[in-house]
Amino acid sequence: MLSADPELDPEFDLDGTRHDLQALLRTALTAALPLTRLTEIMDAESDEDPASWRRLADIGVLGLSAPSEHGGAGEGILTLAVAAEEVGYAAVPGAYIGHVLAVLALGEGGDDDQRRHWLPLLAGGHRHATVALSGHDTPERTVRGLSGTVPVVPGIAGADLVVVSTAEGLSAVPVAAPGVSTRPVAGIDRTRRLGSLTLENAAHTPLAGGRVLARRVLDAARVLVAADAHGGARRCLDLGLAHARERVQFGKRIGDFQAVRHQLADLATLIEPGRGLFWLAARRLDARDERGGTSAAAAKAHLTEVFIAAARHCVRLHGALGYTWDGPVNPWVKRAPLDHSLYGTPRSLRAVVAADLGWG
Amino acid sequence: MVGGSTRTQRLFAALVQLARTRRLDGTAAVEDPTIRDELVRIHVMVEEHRLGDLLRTTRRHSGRDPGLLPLTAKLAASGIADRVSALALTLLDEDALLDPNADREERPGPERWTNQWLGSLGLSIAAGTSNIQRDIIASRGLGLSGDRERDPAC
Repeated sequence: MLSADPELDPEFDLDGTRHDLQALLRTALTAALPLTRLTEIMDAESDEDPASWRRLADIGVLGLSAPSEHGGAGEGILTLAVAAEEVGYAAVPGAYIGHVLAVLALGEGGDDDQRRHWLPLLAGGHRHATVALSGHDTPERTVRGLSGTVPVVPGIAGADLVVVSTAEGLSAVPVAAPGVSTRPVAGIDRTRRLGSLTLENAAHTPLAGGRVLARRVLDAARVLVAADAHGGARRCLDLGLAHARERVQFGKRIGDFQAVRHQLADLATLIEPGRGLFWLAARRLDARDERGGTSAAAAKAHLTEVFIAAARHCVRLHGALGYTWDGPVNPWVKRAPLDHSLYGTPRSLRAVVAADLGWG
Repeated sequence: MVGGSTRTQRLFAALVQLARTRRLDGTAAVEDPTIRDELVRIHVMVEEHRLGDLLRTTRRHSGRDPGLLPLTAKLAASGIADRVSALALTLLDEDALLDPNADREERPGPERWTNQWLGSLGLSIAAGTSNIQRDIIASRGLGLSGDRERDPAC
């Protein structure tokens, strides 16, 4: 069991169940997503990948946080984060993070009807959901409904339901309802497509919990993006390592050159201890520890910058092959900036951490 | 233990204290956005190092594979010490010009930090320099055998 507070408990590791879930996802997701398939998706009209999405549903990952009577497993943010690391490692296309955050929000703030209707559909992967959590543009709530535009929403294109953040808290909005329109927005990461969401007096159901739940879902979002980034960085290390073992230049494997060995050693040192940061943040959020938000911001700031560095090192280790559209590194080169800039950039998150720690 | 997180945490606590007490351009250094950003950056690295240590210890007891953590901890600690030293030098401003060990009448001031700046270099050399650590990580951790192991003439 991973402790909420490592100062009080010397045990700091995943329990056996989560450890096994991670191993299962590693095998299942990488098998479903060879490089050729990822390249196909980057060239396709949409980021939908039914095969990997079906595996996530079958393993039970899409409904992890839903109560068991609604088709879920009643798990917390830590388990979602363990899965998010593997989603990042395999570069799973589509809005895993948006989907599971919507499930989390409905599970904690939805009324009985919403939970009974939506949670089994979302947990089984039969319907798609996402969240609109932009920090800059928040729709307004009036007596006639929600109005406003959220310019960047991951996963909105295929979503049936979107959970929208407003000044009052969170609201659930069925995408097919009158007054809801979406438009594709060309984004950097073609494995995770973006769109804008425009609401004009759209019908919505406010979720219980107000701003407290909205804050919690945003903190969870930061933890999950941090986990995705850590998984992506690990993949970059493994790709660089595999290439260094195979590629021969000047009559030697390039992994025998000290410059390459040292570059990989530096990369490993940068990446290896990262899990502790998002595990601790997730655990604190699950325990409703007041330090959870600070830990989430810290984890996201650091781990998404590490991912950027890992992706860039990985390109350099691969030479021209790394700089190729259908080369082995491209999906992660494009995922890194999305993780970096979604739900708060590292610079803005470090300002949050500084304020929380009482530094100026 | 070389590369352990306790020393790194103590060092960082002292750096925070320095940032709180020093003034740059007329305001407390900790309120300068650039200083604060770097301070948080190092804070997160220190926290990451501490949690890595904890996981390494837990896995030593449980028998589960600790991965590369036992090999990377020292290099990570040296990296953190480098950043602490760089920020301390900025915070010292012109006091960094002073010899930290000179026999002066007044009590030694913030220039004592210069000893840390010099001492952190020693830490990155003691018990295997950083480049030796990189070779160890590559050979034992990443399975890249390298010239020495493959070619006895090297």
